[in-house]
Amino acid sequence: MNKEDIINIIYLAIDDYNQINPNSLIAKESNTLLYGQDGKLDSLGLVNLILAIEEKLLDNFNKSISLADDKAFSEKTSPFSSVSVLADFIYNKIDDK
Amino acid sequence: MINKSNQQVILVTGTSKGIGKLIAEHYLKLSNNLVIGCSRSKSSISNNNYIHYELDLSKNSAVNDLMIKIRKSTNRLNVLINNVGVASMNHLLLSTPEKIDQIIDVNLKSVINLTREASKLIKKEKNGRIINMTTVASPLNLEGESVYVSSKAAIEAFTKVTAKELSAFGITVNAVGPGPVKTDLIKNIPTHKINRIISQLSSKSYTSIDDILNILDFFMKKESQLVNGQIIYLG
Repeated sequence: MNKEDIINIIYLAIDDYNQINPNSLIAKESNTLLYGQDGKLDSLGLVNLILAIEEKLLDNFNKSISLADDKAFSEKTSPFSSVSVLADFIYNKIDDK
Repeated sequence: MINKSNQQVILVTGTSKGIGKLIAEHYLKLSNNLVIGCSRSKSSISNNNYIHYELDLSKNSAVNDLMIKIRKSTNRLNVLINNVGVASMNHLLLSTPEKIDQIIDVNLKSVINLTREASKLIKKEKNGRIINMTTVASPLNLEGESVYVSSKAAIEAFTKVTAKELSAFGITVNAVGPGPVKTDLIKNIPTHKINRIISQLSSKSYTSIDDILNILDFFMKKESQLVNGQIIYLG
């Protein structure tokens, strides 16, 4: 599983989000800001996106991981700030295993 | 996928005997339900619309295993009834650390873990329902049941907070608190002690399974979408 696979998983999750939030579409680009300053997601949107990513990682790659652990929320830069930062975070998390 | 898309899929924990089994049988009698049950022992229900998984929910891995199996078999869930529970009628000073662990693991941790995982599936359906089981022993602060009552008081707090956290996903979370029910759970309690509990209730009688089913049906009604974070005691 490489970074491109992870980006594609995030894009699939964004597709899910956009489907139920047609008035607040998120662009499928690596520099899209997701959560935090200028991010498109509110806290509920973040929960939905995280759940969708976790589900797609399990369905497509049989990887069962929890993205929102204590480490995620204690890092200086939020791992959920943008698509590319989130992809790096997921990649490192899977690499840890 | 084995369920029809218009079927209501109900997960009931602790279905090998007692209240859990009767709850499962009740919803199997009603049309258009698929009931998924689980317990540490083999299934005692035979019905084409019933699926049973044998596992110990107090183990974290078992919760994940159960949800993976449900995702593979039905990939849908409308209702979770957290029925599984163990009781221990013992003075705090006579409660062993092992028994305390067991009560907290089964009555609280398994409910929290299963609710977390099941909610991910339930939130995809409209009008999702989660129903927890508590007991009148909690508001009565019954002496001699400190650990059991504490675990159920925690379930009541969990019910009220998750009702708020999950309402954005269209899921309601409520709890029903029966009085004494004639099941294995209380078979070892002397009658005079049960009578002492009953004497403290407004309606001085045992709770029947029909009393419980009535509340479950009420919580599950489509019209009960605004009934959320509520604890209904029987008796």
